[in-house]
Amino acid sequence: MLQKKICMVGAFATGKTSLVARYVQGIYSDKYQTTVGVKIDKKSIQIEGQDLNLILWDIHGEDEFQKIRMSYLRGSAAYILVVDGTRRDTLRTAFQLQTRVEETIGKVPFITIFNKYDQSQAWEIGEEDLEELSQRQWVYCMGSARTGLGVEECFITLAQLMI
Amino acid sequence: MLNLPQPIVTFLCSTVVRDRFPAYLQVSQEGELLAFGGDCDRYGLSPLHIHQLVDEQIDFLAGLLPLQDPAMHIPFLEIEEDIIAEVHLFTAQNEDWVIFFDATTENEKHVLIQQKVNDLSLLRRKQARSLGQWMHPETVAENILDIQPAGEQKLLTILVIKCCNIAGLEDQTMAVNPLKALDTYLSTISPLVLDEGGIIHQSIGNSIVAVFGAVPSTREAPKQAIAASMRILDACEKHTSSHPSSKCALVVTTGVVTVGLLQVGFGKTLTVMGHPMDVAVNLNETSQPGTLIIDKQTFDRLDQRQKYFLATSQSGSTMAGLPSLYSYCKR
Repeated sequence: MLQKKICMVGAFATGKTSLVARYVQGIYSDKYQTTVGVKIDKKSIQIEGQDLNLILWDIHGEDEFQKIRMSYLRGSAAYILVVDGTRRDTLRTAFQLQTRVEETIGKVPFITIFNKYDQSQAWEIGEEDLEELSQRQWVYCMGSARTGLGVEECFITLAQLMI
Repeated sequence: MLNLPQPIVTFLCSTVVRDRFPAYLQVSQEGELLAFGGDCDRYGLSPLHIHQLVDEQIDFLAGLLPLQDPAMHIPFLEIEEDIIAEVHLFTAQNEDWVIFFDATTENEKHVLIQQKVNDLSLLRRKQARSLGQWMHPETVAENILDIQPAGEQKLLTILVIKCCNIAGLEDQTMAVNPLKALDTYLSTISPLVLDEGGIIHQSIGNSIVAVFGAVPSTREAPKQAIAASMRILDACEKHTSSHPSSKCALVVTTGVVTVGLLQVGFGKTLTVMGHPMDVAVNLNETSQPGTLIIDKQTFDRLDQRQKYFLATSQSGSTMAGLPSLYSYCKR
């Protein structure tokens, strides 16, 4: 079976761990627990008749004290940029991270997920932001680890981009 | 081993190293597991099979081996639930070695600190948002700002920050979308002002006016303003690596101003008027990118930070009645 390493990257508290928990175990907790270091998870899927083992690297969030070590991304087949849709500044962090990741591992498929889409009253992502992503030709989707909306689709879309 | 006598090496191995439950893997350049040992069970690594591909047996090694760099260190890696490993990967004698140590306790300490930092950061953001959007201005004035809604005279420190090269041509991003560039500046600067006890008074064009001393604090307003200014200059310096043209010009003045709430349209807005404000705005117009100019009133209240400032006559301003000025010189 093909093994594919996928890294979750983004600013702190964007919901990377929750997205993995929702996708792999189908669970969600409202309590925010920060990730320090890396958590490894695995999910076996079948895409277009091909069996894949997705090895998910849930990497701690980027903040002013804790920078992501780009060496963690070595050997990645793809990555997911996680943005908190209720914190627009996390989109800027995603832009910066994408540049650094590409400098380290080159061009590999990636997808941006705007998490917390269930919190529409606090949503800070505007049309102009999505327009910018389109101009950059980034693949993106809306999702919610809490409700499960768009989570599976995000991983499946990325897997399709990989094979 | 670092010229340590054998008894010490033996002692360290039988105490410090043993207590961290070491385990190791030896892997060929073709990715085949050549040997393993130590407490592999603890890290959920077993069953392991010699002469089989290691990345098919240990998920997290997929794509990592053979190592591209001479060594790699992962301080906290959770492979098995509730067990955190510190992992070292290195190449020696044409083979890759992977060493595991238990880092569960160390991780718990880090999580506690990082959780606090992140929680505070999220809280700070929520507060800033609440102040700006959801509270009635008079409630803010009476309960959060230390001012009378009807107006009063107060000794405040004014910080004016000009975001330079917003429409500059040397940086493509900024030339394409100056509003986005200004938004980036604002998002960087605002938390630093709030952190140091200031409030964003207003934003005029590409300049931001912050006020210190309106929010009750145990620190003196000039010291707060200078601390914020230095952090802003540092932030700009870091940002300069990716956006060479991003720089700010800062001016800080201190003095008695009239402060209060003024009815504007359907709402009320904080108003600050007086000579220190006029001087700060005027000086800022002619300030050079990357500079921090302060007036004598601010300088006199700085204590040990005075050493970072030198008297300057250059202001470029033609304004009459300018006070003595000092310029920041980073040492």
